[in-house]
Amino acid sequence: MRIRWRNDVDGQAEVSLSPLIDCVFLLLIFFLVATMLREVKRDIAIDLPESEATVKLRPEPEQVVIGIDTDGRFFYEGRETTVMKLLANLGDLAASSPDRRIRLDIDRATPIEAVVEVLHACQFRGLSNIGIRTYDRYYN
Amino acid sequence: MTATTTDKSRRGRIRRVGPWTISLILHGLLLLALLAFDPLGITEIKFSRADERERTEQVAERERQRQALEQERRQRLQLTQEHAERLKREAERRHRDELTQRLERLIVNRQRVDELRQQRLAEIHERTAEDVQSVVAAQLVAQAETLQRMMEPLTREGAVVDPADASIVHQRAEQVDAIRELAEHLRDSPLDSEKARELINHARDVRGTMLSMANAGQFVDYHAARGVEHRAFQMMQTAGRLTNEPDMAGLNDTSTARGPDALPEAVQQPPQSLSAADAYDAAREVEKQIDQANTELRAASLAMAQRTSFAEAMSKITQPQVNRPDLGTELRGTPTTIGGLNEVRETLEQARGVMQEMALRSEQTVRSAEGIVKRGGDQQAMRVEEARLGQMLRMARHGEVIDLTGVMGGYGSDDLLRDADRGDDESDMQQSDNNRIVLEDRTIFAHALPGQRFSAAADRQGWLYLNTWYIVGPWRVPDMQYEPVHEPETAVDLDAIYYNGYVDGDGPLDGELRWQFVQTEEMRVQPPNVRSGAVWYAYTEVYFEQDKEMLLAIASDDAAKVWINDMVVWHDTGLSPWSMGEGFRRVRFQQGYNRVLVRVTNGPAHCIFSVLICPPESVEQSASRE
Repeated sequence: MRIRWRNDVDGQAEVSLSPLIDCVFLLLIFFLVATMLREVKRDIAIDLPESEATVKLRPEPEQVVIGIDTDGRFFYEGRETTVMKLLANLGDLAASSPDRRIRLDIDRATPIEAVVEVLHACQFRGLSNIGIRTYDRYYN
Repeated sequence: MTATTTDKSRRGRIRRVGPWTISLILHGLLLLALLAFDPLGITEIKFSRADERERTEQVAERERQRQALEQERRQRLQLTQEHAERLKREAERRHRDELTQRLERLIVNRQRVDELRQQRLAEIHERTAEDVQSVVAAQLVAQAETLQRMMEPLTREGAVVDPADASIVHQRAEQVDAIRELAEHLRDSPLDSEKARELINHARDVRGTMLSMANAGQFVDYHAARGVEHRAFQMMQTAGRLTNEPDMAGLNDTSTARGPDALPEAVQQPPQSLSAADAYDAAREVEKQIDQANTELRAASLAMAQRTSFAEAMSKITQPQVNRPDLGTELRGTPTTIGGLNEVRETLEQARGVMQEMALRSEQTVRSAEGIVKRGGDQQAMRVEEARLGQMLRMARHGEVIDLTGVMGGYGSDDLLRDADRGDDESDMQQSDNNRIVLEDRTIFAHALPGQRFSAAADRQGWLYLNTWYIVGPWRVPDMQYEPVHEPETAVDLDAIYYNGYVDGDGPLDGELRWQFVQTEEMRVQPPNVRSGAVWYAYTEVYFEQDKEMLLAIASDDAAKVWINDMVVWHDTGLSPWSMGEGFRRVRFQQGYNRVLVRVTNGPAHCIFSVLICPPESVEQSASRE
């Protein structure tokens, strides 16, 4: 006796969507993680200060991140740097894109002299689009 | 039957009343509970960040205590020797690559510094007697120019008490002119000893007359006459060096230069078998060898510049004394406990950091050494002109403006230097007699602003002061000496660490110096850690949108030397209090960033300096309004 399947009757094969959805989810998770890693890479381990008077800005992927830790050490784009290298980087930045946003990541216990030093270095080179990052419960 | 009826009615009453009663009782109990216990009556949760932080800290503290106890317990755990050695080897293996890489960097840099040292020493051997004497002759010319400048006020009417003595002074002034001519002749023919003796005779006459007349009270300005006498005496000493053929064998002798010792034996081993202790000790040794080679290189350069012997130059150069911790001994021991093993791991981390610092410092030394040798090519011409310019700058009078625009942007010709000396060319200051400016301190204090960027369109056109600096020091300088030359004069490296600084007997200074960022609220800048008999270097940059001539007002307590774009524009020696209008320079800044380096030397007590900048036209306008 010959068994007649229903599909045979329709004459069309069905494609299962499950693997496709799996792939889409995997890609989504991959891009999410990759994006987060890119952001984390420039962050340094610091305790950010709080402020009641901050303005929320949309994060810019092109912004330059300068960090200063509690010992007054400088970090440029997440990597520890020296004064000479930082000044050189800022000089290059001023020459190529002086309007680039600069985000200062400063620990609440960072010596104020180090902050003034970086602010002065930026101002002296004509870099004025500077913001100081503060604690945000939803972001941090 | 009756009993049955009674039971039924009771059950019915219970059924009818019971649930309500129970409900009432329960509600009553709930109400009582709510009234009796506050926590049950809370209708909102309050969140206090301070409380939360305190609780978090308490929890963290408990956790720290727990971990400390656990750590302590683990630290005491005993290890067998075999196990301990295996764990130590494993810890070393993780750091081996980094340690050997840093050691290799040190060895490469040692080789490079030694090559530069040998190159410089070879140049010393090539010096001729004419080379040596030409520098002395150049100094003589600078001294003669100064002598003429100092003599000129004494020949004016009213300079001598008795007009009858004026003729003697004029005769001596003519001799001073002759001295100048002889000095210029010697510059072209430095081996002409006869002319040198002639010059000495003239100088002796001038000196004798000035001394006797000054002591007899025949000059109105006693100090001016003694100044001429002192300068003439200096010229006698300088010219004395030209009367005899220099001992070239002695001057060119570099046999005392010993160079770096052989590399440590441990370096010959393959990197895989090099222990961390051997690598660290070898790095310390190589670092010392680099310092030794660099010291000899600097001495050789100084000997070339000053035309002295290598041995004499060596006595003026300080060799850095770097005290690195002795980690090699600690690393050689075998731990017996987990705690000991952890200490070894920490020591390895420390060794890694120290060796990184050594490698960075060696690279800084190479940069500095290359800078010295690179400038060696035109050093003779540079030093000759520097000697003349320096002499002029040192002898400038209080409040005097000296125009250096003719010599800015490289060492110019003699004509340019003469223009600078006279200060009377077209670009000279016209607004005051005798080319002097008098600053109203209170007015400047009230109106001057900090600034380091200058544009033609700026609203502010008056006096600006430089208030942001990187400063390093102090180095000890007994007796206000300007030698030896410290590293920042050779190359400014804001990341550098120097180990030959001031050491307090029992104070906080241990000789290690780093550049510090300093920003002041007013125009006077005080270096950190002020000590008597010490020197500091301050570095900053100024930005100009286009080439611009500016007026500089420099003042210091006590002595100072200022370079703009590596050229000396100010040289003040001796002890003097801070005075805003101590002296002025008209200088040319280049478009873009310009480097400003200040060396300030402190005698006793206070030490401050200031650098003010103003467009010359602003001063001219204010002078014309007055």
